Amino acid sequence: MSLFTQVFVALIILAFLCYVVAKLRKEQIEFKYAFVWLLSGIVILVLSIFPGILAWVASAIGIGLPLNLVFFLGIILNLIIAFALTVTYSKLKNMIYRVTQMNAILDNELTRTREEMESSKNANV
Amino acid sequence: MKKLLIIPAYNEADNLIDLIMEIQTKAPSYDYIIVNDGSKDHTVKVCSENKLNVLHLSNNLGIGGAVQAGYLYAIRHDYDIAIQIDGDGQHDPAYLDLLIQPIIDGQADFTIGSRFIEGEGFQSSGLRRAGIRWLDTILKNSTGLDITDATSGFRACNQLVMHVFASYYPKDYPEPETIADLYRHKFRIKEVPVHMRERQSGVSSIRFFKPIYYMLKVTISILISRIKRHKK
Repeated sequence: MSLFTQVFVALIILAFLCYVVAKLRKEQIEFKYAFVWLLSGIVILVLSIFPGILAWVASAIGIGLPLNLVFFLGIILNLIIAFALTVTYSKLKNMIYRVTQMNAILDNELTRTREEMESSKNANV
Repeated sequence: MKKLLIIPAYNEADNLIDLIMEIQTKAPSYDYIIVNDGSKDHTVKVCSENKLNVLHLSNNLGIGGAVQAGYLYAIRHDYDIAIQIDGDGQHDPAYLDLLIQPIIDGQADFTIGSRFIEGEGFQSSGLRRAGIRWLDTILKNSTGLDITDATSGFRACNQLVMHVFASYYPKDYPEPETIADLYRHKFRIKEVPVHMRERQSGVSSIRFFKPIYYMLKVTISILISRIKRHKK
């Protein structure tokens, strides 16, 4: 990897990390979900500064081209995040269902109470 | 004994009044709750003009979420028996007493109105019957239950089952899976012969490529239900 590539990648990653931290500061992202992005950003940052680590790991597990290891890890990370989001989505869906159901039940009670109040008012008049 | 009819309705405005009138003449001892599952037709207007008892879901949750809202309502208002009945006129309220009799007698916790025991009344198309038979077979193999009409949406349950349904109810194509769930919870399930009618108007929700997904989803979820942990 040329020095230019190293600096280029490191700068992109640094900008990304700053963006995530800014989101955290503005409370627009939950730490739980920001954590995995921060962690993977830091790992890539370290690798761009010390590309030797990547080459060493790649040869240790029998991958000829270190770049292939990057692709492999990138895809794995994406799949893990996508799956975790599906789990989160299912949980959220259950919550939205319950809120919608309870809202309808309370709305029904409100309507009925109003009707009763009005009919008793009419009866008094 | 307080009895509640849960009527899930999505774009059934034209059928609702007839159904409620029919319930009030044929089965006056039953209360009802319509669950308007975010209909896009004039269901809201029909309900408020006629002062129908209704839950208006602000999002379209699909049949599972709609029916579950009905069970939540039943628990909240302390009903002893809750009966699911379709909003499209397929189910005849005249059979309600027969349907809940095993529950009243304490012989069953959950009953299913089956159109195939006597084989009379509307029997559905050949392809649908074949699909239902397949699901009956899957249920038979995984639970040993002899169910003839696993997809029937005409069903009744007692309070214990209501609580199970309130805590978990499948979101789409729920009927066969709930049978496997109740079997796992060791509830007594019984089928009761009923006659069904062809839907009065509107279209069924299971069309186009949905049957393929339907069969796969329901088959797999029945099998998954068998290996779920028993929740108490």
